Amino acid sequence: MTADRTVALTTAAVLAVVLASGPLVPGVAFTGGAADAALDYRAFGEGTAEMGVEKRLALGAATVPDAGALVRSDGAYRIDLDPVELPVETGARPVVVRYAVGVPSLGHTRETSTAVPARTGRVVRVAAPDGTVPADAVTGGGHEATLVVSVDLGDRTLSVARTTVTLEVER
Amino acid sequence: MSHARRPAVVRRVLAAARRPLTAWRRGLAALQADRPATALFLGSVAFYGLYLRVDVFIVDTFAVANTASALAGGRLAVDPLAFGPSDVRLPGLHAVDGRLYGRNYGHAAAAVPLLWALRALSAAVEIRVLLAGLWSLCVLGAAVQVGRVVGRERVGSLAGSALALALLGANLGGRGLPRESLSLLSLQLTTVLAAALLAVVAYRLLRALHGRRVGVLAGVTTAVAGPVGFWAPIPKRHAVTALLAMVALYGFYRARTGADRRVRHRAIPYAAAALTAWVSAPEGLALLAALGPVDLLTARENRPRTLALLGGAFLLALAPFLLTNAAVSGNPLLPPRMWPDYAAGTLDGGSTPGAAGTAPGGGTTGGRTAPPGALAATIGGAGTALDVFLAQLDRGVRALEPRRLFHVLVRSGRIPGVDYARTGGYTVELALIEAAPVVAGLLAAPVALCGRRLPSRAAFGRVRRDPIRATDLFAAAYVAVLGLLYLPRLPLHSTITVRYLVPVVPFLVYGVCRLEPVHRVAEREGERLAALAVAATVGGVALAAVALAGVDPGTAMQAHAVANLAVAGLFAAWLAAALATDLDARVGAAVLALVLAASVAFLLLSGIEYFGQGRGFALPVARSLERLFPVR
Repeated sequence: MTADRTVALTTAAVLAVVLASGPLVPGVAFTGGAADAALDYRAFGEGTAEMGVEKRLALGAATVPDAGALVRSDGAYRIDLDPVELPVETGARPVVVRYAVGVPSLGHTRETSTAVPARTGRVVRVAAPDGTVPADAVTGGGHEATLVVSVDLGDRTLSVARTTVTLEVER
Repeated sequence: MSHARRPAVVRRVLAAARRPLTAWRRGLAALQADRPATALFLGSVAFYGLYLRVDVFIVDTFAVANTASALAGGRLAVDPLAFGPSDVRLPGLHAVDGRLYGRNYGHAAAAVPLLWALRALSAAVEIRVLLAGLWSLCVLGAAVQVGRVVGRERVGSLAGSALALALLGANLGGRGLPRESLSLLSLQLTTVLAAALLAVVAYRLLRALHGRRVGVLAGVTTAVAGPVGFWAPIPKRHAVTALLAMVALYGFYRARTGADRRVRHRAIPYAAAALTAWVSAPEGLALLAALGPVDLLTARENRPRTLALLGGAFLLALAPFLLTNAAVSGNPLLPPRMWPDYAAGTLDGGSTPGAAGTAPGGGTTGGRTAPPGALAATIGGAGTALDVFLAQLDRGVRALEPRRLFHVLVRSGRIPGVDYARTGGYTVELALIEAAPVVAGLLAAPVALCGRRLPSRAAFGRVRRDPIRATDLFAAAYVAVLGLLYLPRLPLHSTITVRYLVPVVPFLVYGVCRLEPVHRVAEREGERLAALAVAATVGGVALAAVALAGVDPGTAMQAHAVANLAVAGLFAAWLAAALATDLDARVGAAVLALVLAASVAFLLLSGIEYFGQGRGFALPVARSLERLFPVR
């Protein structure tokens, strides 16, 4: 066997083992167990050896409505807004996704929230808060509303998206 | 449509699209043509990979790993943190406008393609097995190339194949790597590749200056120099900035020689300085401060058109740095690092303006309170950055005290002023010569200059046009500026091998390899040197394993420090004697072999043993070696 052929065969064998290690070849396992849950930070001293790397939180781009409406209903106006969607992957702690709607000209502020348990990955859909405003307060053809999507981490709140939309008055 | 009928703009676009492909093909062809370079690169990657530990060695690495993770997701802000230690504040984060930002964006950006590749591959293969496979292929490739270089192609191929397969078998069976580790791993692969390329660039530079054998010696010596090898698998900025500085030195020389004497080669060092700024702004400024005056002084011409082209190239390469800063803070010249450090609790909700604090320049920088307007902000940023840099150099000059220099450069022991509580009480901090005994060779350099008269004005004119002397001058200037930049902060805990000075180590190795006795050894006794170095390494590792059994890491590191100092003294004495007399090159081969062996033994034992217990080795074979040796 020539030197080149030996090298080519060795390379092919190595690549075959690497390929077989994944899910493409079922029933073959070249690692002895599941991945460690966390990586260690192990410096010297200061009792830092117990510090582990932990998945904390990952967020995708929030989908926020770009318009809304004030719909006449039983002598008042109901605020009609689409829900927001936010891809969330939590770590060791649960989080709360909040969707706040404020209409400064009508003095109206409401929010809804959805809790996401620890170690969960999904697209969270948070419905717009129910809210009505007295009919006599609604004037003109539209009112500006501020929509804020935030994530409550427990020790602090992270603002994810903030936008201003016009609520068109539907009489 | 025929080529002739294509509009000019389409032809240009197609040509531009083909350029990277052509460059890639040329690169591959160059690698095949330059076998020592390929062997050096693959061998260095395999060497560093042996003691690659997929864990966090210094806690502020979390900040850079989160930065890479955020960049891979298309964000500059690291808020929310992708991962980190629980309930502990992460140093290295900076608060701007109520958001958290990381640091070393250039390094993190370089890791992003690797991170994407690892994430994609993790769907199809087990990453730990992938690492084992790639490592085996590096071993195979290095063996094949070394076999070809020494004219034993068949032996190299057969031995390399057997070794690669055996090592792959030994590396199977470990636990899988957690997905959270991929951004950290991508950063580590970046530094490993940077350090391996650093050795290749050192080889290419010295090959161009003094021939292939000296080039190989320079490459190997750079690769195994203690500070370079120690930090290669640890995802700090040092290997990356060291590579860029060495590329600058190589480009500087190429721009002054033969057919390559073109403006585009002269632009390489400026581009390297700009890219360094994206990784570490002070180090970029240090490189530019050393480069600019020496380049202007020693260039063949400084026509306005040339200077304009150089300025344009510099600004183009600086664009990522400027854009990153502008996107983060609105000021293109203030990197996130100059904004207040994030301390837990100082950052409220996202809508709240950032934590106010004092930037290194002294100005208050809460939120975007920099001077109004982009131009004013830029001028203010430039002024602040320059003030900080000049103040740091001034502090560096004032820090030139014998006691400090002694502990930074020569001998560590238990250094007064270093907080050993931060390293568990262990005396793991070494001085530069203790970590890299080869640099002691420069202590003999004055012997080479002895008896030479100071050049006359006309002779000085000729000297400054000499490409090699000009390159020497640039190297010396960079060592001086970077040394002064960091000297006030040294000695410091957790620098282990004076890591702030890693970028100057290849320059110091360059200086040693410029000395004539080293050429004599490489050219006349290269084979003897290689054989002695391998034998001395095996002997040194065995001796240390027996002599240091059961001792703590601090004692083990100090034992290496003392041994390396002895070797360094021997090396300096030999060089001084060889510079003054026609000493037998075989003596030099033996001494240089000791220098190389001391460095390799230090790297292997520190990487696998002293800092290896309980750590997350990428390769299970390293864990087996760690358990095999009785040290600790």
